[in-house]
Order: sequence, then structure tokens, then C-alpha cells
Amino acid sequence: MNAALKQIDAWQTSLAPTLPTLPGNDIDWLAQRRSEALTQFSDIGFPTRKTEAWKYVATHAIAKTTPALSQSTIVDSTQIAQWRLDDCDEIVFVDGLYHEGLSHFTANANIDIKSLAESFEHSPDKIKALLSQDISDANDAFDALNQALLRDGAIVTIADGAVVERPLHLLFVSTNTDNSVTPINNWIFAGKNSQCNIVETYIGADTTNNLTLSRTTINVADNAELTHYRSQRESKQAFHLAELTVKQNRDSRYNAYPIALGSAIARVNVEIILAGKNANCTVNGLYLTKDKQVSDHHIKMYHAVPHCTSDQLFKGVMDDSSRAVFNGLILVDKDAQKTQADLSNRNLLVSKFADINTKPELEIYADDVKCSHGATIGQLNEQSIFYLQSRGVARDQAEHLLTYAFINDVINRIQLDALRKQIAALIIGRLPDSEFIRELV
Amino acid sequence: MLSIKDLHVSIAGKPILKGINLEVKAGEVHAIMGPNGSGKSTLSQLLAGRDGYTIDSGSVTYKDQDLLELAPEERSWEGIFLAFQYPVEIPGVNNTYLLRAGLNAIRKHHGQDEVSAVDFLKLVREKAKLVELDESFLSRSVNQGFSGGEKKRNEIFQMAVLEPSLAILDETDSGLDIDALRVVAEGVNKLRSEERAFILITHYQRLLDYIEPDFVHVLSDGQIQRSGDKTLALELEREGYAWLDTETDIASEAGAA
Repeated sequence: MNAALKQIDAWQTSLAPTLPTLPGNDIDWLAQRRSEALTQFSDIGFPTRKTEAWKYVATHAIAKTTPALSQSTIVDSTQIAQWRLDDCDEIVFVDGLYHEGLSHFTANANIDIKSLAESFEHSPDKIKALLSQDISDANDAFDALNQALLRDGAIVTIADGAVVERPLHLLFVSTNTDNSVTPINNWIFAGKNSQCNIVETYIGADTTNNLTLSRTTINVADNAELTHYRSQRESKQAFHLAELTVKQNRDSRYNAYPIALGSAIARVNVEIILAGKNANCTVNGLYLTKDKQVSDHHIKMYHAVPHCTSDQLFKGVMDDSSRAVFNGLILVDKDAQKTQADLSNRNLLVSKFADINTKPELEIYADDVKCSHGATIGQLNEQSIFYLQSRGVARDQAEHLLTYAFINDVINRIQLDALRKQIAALIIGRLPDSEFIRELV
Repeated sequence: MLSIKDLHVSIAGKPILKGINLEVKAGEVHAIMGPNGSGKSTLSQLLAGRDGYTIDSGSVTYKDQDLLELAPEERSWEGIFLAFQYPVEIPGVNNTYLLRAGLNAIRKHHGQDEVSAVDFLKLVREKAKLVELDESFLSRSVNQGFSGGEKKRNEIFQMAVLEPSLAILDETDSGLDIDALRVVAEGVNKLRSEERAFILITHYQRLLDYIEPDFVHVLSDGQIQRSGDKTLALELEREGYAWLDTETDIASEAGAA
């Protein structure tokens, strides 16, 4: 038996006994679904360098951990205070499990929020229907594992016509320090003509080393508008592997802000399907890596019908000996005439040991479309550094200032004040000369 | 204040300045004129501390210090200011905040306290008025989206706030219409003082109609070919640079910068 098979075997042996302990496992179809998914995980095996989607990200650091299923530890409100967002409703999950005591939300007619774990018990048929609609293709071992361990997550339903004024913050806190695996599955249903802002935050204290497997499935109904922030700030020993699947219907608007700052290895696999005419999607992404972090974004923007627009901007800053991977595909179906699709990926390498692999791709089968894509990789501009120096700014300060200035525009596009300030403070805080930068931007 | 002695400078092995001698005293205004490729911009960038030049021989002494040993920011703290020929756009960095940081760095270097927010605001408003720079430019990113004329005005505005001892204006007049040129020139004239010296690098005599220099130098082929008073500029205007009769086969200034 080779090493990879041994590792898969070890994972299966470690995790199989926990399946019966999962909520709702007395429901036959659910127990069977989990068990099949575990077999699927084992059959697919850990991705290797030959697995195209994982070409630039080695997973042996994850594979060698042999984790157990995460257990929720006791957390009090003071421990998570710094991660809360002002003026938001908040649903808190600790190590993947809904924590009612830390959450604050007033039920109302506009928005309904359920915990997946509780729903197995209360409305199993509804969950069965939900799971049967799953539009993912499960060729990914980690996603299969997440389905095998299907446990908890948020099911958010925004009523038709509801304008939800108060943003919703889904806060996922990791506390585990024993290499455990944390499965999370969320659904967001934005009803017809509705409007809502949702923030997903993944975070953990510096010592946590969990493997988060997150899947969020979103449906944006006709003429609905959903603004979705995804703020990943897990610890630098943690692993974060995420799937985000979005279906946009007619006249819908979906604005995504995928922001990746944390984790030793972070991967976000995004698939957005523009499935109804005149749907409009904007994505403003940001990834920052330092030390030995690896951050990977795989984006598929699928224009399936005519008259849709998508506009994506991703910026990355890589420092030390860190690496980032960006793979952005715009796929335009033969029926999707009058598509307008743009994708721009701009990268700044601030260390000569840092690395980026970027690949924007266009696949177009329609003949009347406007599409553009491009990627840039650069260093700090010497002219700009000299200009700042000539105005009295020391060289190292100028470099740090320009690094922040490079991503400042993406940060400024974050509409939600509390989040924008939080992210800006966090990013400035990561840079040397943070006090100086704070004064100049 | 500034003493350049037999300065030889090359870029990537190619000689650009071939023995420059220049003495600038406090209160003086020197105009350096010359054709494209003569080394004018190299000289101004070099004085401000731009990287990429090799000093083959000679010396530059500024306020009794070896200027060439100082980093660009240290030169700024010591009172050297370069108004750029092509001011750089820096999106995401606030124009006014940069200026405050620069001013405070200079003050700190001289053992002074930081300027208070109220005093600074008063100062920038007063100086913005001096160069007829709309106050809306103060809150924008450095030079971002500024027109050519606005950028040049912003340079003079910065100079007015930072109050340098030695101001080097690198073709600040190039590309300006007559109104903008007048504003820029008036800004400079108001800053003229006994303690301050100016080096005006220019291609055209036109600027000198508005700023009267004490000395005019003609730079060509990396050397100062002639020096004189303001009448030399008029002579150049009449006769052009052809009389210099020197082949300017060196790299273009854009390439050199």
C-alpha cells in the first residue's frame, strides 16, 4: 500500500466511527448518503499534482494529519467580541456547531434562519429536498468528505420581496487545537425581489489548527439582490477548503467579496451560474499571503443565458515565501448572446521568494459577446517609491505604504462600514509601519 | 549651498554627465537650459537621489555634506525638493496626508514638534490658494486623475508647504498653457527668498519671462557649455541650440530617467 492510500485509509478509519454520532443519523437515507460520501472520498483519494484543479497546491500537509471530527469547546462572549460586527444580526457557530447563546437574532417575517443540525430532526423531508438539488459535481475528495460528515450550518431564507436592512453575519469560530476536521454546510435562498447583505466570517485563535470544510450554496431568485462577503481569517496553522456555488436567476444581482487572509492552505472553489436573463454579477476579491501560506482561488463564471453581465476583480499580495494560485474561467454558452464578462487579476509580489500562478481563461461558444480577461504580476513601482522618498518618506515606509495602496481600492469597495473598517485595520495591522500607513490612506 | 565639482555620471556604462561644475548660493535662481538629451533631467534626478546612476568621478557638496551619500528621503529632510517633470500618480495615498507626513518628517529631523492638525490645515489652505489649486485636490489621491497642469501645480503646492532650501524644478513649464505657467511662476516668485535657492531646468526661454534668473547655464552633451546672466536665455531664444554644434548622441532624457 502506498503512502497516499495509507493516509486515506487512516482518515477513513478515524472518521467512520463518528458517522453514527452525527445528528439525524437514525434517518436511513441520510445515514446512507453519508456513508456513500465517505466511500467516495476514499475512492477519489487526496488530490495529487496530477489532479488538474490542485496542480499548484500540495495537500500532503493536510493528508498527514489524520483528524477526528471537531467537537465544540466552551467559548464565552468575550472571546469572540473582537470578531463581531456592529449593527448586524449574528449567528455564531463554534467548531462547526450552532451556538445559540452567542448568536443574536430576532426572528421576523423577512428572514428565516435555521440550523442544519436541528432541521434534520424537525423537517427531514425539507432537508432531503434541499440535498437532492445539490448542483455540485463531486469530484473533489474534500467536498465528498464534507458531505460524509454533513452536520451543521446555516439555512438562510429571505422572503420574497423582503428588504432586509440589517446585515446578517454568519460567524464561524474555530477553537480546536487537535487537527480536527470541521464540516460546515450553508444554504442561502434570496427570495424574489428581495435584498440582503450577508457576511460569512471564518476565524480562529492563533493556536487553532483545524481543517475547515465549508460549502455554501446560494440561490438568488428573480430580481433579487444579494451582497455576500466572505472573510476567511483562520489561523496560520489551520486549513480552509471551501466550495461556493451560486445560481442567479432572471434580473438578479449578486455581489461577492471573497477575502482570504488566513490559513496555512486556503482554497476557495467558486462556481457562479448566470441562469436567468439579465442577471448581473460583480466580484471583488482579495487575497494576501505571507510566511509560508498558500492561497488558491478557482473561479468559474458560467454564462448560460443571454444578456447577463459579470465583472470580476481580484487582487493579491504575496510576501515572504508564500504562494497564491488564481484560476478564473469565464465560460459563455452558445445561447448566451450579448454576454458582457470581464475578469481582471492583479498581483503584487513583495518578496523575491513569493510566488503566484495565475491563469485567467475564456471559453466562449456564443458569437455576439463582449469579454475581456487579464492578469498582471508586478513588483512595487520604483518611480512611486522614489517620489514618496523625495517627499520625505523613508524607503521602507514607502514600500509598505504602496503595498497597502495597491489593494486599498478593493477594500474601499466594501459597502458595509463595520466590515470595511475591520478588514482595513486587519490588513494594515499585518504590514510593518502600520501606524504610518493608517495616517496616509 | 550647493557645489558640484567636475561631476562625471554614467548610466549602464554610457557617460551622461561629463564634467559638470556648478555653484549655487542661497537666494540665487539658476536656470539650466539645453536641448533634449543634454543631461538636464539626469542632473535633477541625481540631485534628488534617484537610483541607477553611476558616479564616475567628481563631488556634490550640499550644506557642507556629501550629498551623494544621502538617501533621497534624507535629502528631502535636509531641504532639497524636486518638482518632477512627470509627477507620479499614487492611487490610494491621500495627497494632503502625504504632505503632512513629509512635513512632519522634516520637522522631526530638525528636532521640531509635529505640526498640529489645525495649523496644518491652515497652512495647506493658504498654500493651495497661492497656486490656485482647488481645495478638492487636497482630499484626492496623489496626482490621480489630475490633468498635466494640475499635476505641475500640485508640485509647486507641495514645494510651498515643505519650504525647501534648494528647489529643483525639472521642466515644470513643459506642457503648460500660458495661464498655468503664470500661476506656477507666480508661486515660485512668492517663494523666492534670501535663504532659498532654485534650479530651474527648462527647455524653453518662456518660463524665464516670468521667473527672472540670476544665472543661466547652457547644458549640452553632458557639460555646461556657457554660463551667463538672463540675456543668455534671450540669445538662445533667438538663435536656438544649433550654435552649440555638438552632437547629442546620448540617450534621450526619457530613456535616461
